[in-house]
Amino acid sequence: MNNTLLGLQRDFSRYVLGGDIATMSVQVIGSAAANAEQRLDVYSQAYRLRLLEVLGNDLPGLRLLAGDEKFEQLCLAYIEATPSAHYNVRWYGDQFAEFVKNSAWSQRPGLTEMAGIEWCLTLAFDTADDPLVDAEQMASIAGELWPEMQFQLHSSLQRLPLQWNVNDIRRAIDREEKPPALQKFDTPQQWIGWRKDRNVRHRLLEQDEAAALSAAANGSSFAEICELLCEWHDVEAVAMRAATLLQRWVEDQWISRLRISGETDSAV
Amino acid sequence: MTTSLAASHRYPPLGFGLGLRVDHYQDLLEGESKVDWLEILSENYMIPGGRPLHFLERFRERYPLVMHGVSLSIGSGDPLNRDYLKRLKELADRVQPAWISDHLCWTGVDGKNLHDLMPLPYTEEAISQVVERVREVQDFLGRRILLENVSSYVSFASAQMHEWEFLSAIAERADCLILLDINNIYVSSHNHDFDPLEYLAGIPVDRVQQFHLAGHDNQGALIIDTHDAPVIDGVWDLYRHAVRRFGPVSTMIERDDKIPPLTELLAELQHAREIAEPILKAAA
Repeated sequence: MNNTLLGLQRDFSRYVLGGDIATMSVQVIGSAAANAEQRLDVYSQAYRLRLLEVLGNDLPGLRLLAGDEKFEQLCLAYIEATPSAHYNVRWYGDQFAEFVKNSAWSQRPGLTEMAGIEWCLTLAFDTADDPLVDAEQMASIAGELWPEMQFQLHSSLQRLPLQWNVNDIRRAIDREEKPPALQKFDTPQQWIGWRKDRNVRHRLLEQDEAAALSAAANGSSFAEICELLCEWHDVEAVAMRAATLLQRWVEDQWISRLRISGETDSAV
Repeated sequence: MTTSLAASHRYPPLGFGLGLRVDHYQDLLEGESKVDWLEILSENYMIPGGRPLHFLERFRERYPLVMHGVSLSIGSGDPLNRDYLKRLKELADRVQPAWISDHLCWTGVDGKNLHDLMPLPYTEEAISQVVERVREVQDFLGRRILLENVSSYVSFASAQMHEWEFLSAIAERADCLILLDINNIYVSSHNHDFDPLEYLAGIPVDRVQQFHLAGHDNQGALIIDTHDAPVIDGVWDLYRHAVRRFGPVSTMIERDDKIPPLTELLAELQHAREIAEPILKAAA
């Protein structure tokens, strides 16, 4: 590698990322129409505008909560602190929620949670097209095997705990409706985002459902999930509740594979 | 080594096409095929799954496709991104495109991506480096690639030649093809005060595989390449000259922002046809 070209690119990159212009401007020829600094400025501005646009598209809920001016300030702070590590700009926002969480912005109600769910929605959009278990496949499992059944969840599922109704605000934005005011939930909620029929969806989980889903994700069997649900339901009602939840998960395309314990992979 | 590539430089032409954009998915899939071919943005489909890949499959059944990337960074001082190349090849295996293109530029260095088409200094050193990398990419993909001229706003003090000499030398030495963006030539000719016809005259005819046509934002001192507006008369005139020189080259309208209804782009494409067809007919 000859260092002349590499050196120029490093100087240019440092300038665009926020460094001093002087090192670059001596390497550029100006003209009567536009001097070197004006020409270089096109690249510096374009860099920030492009990333602002990407973040704006990913984070409409955060923009609403923060307000346009503050949102731009927040994004610019992120841009200055976070060079893009991935060739695809689609991944640029992957540290945004963490950035908000670790900054003074986290003191503003709901911002960290909104950043979190909005990034989860972008993730759910294009994860792998895992196989899906359908109702017919479920029905084909013999009753005596149900207790041992384990579940592999679809890779589009994204779960987060919420204290604020940021999910309702984001939903209203997506539907082009008037968003509700930001409100704190009486008790913390579990939120889930996922993809169904190629569309991204999200909702809150009921407490027992959140616990059951967490257990399923961690490899618990159907019997173990039923046991867990006893915390919320009478013993006689537990199996029905578990079956109802499972039916809904299948309809919502959350289950990509079933396994029977003891077998290596008797996927249906 | 590029000995495995076919002896004939160019791929067969495809006619008149459009850059595929999400806003036009339904219109382009319903009813009769409205264009001869479509250009997809490679990175939009280099993803694990979901809606884009579903639609890609439907378009693949319906239209000839070509792949156009923005992240190859063929001129970067960083090593070639092997992960990117692997995914690009996987997409090409899936799409079976008529050809694959990217830009004659660099997009970042030291692992930091600027997400812009950054200009190269027109030097022998840069030619040597780019040629070596193009050969490596072509060997990996098993096909010739196209490199596109980018709009630029700076000229480097270290430059040893004109942009068209730089582009031509790389195409000849690396045995690759050229995607000429007619708008970008127009933009750069204004920004750097050169004659765009001299540019066209300096490009080898048998290396040009594709034309892009697009709009821009004329701010007076500099023209900013936005690709967000209709093609202007000056660019149509330059296109007329390009067709006279390069013959039946696959042509498309490339709109990247402020995407209008499909009918508006189809009207622009029809205008391109009306310019090109009489010239090509007369030449035949």
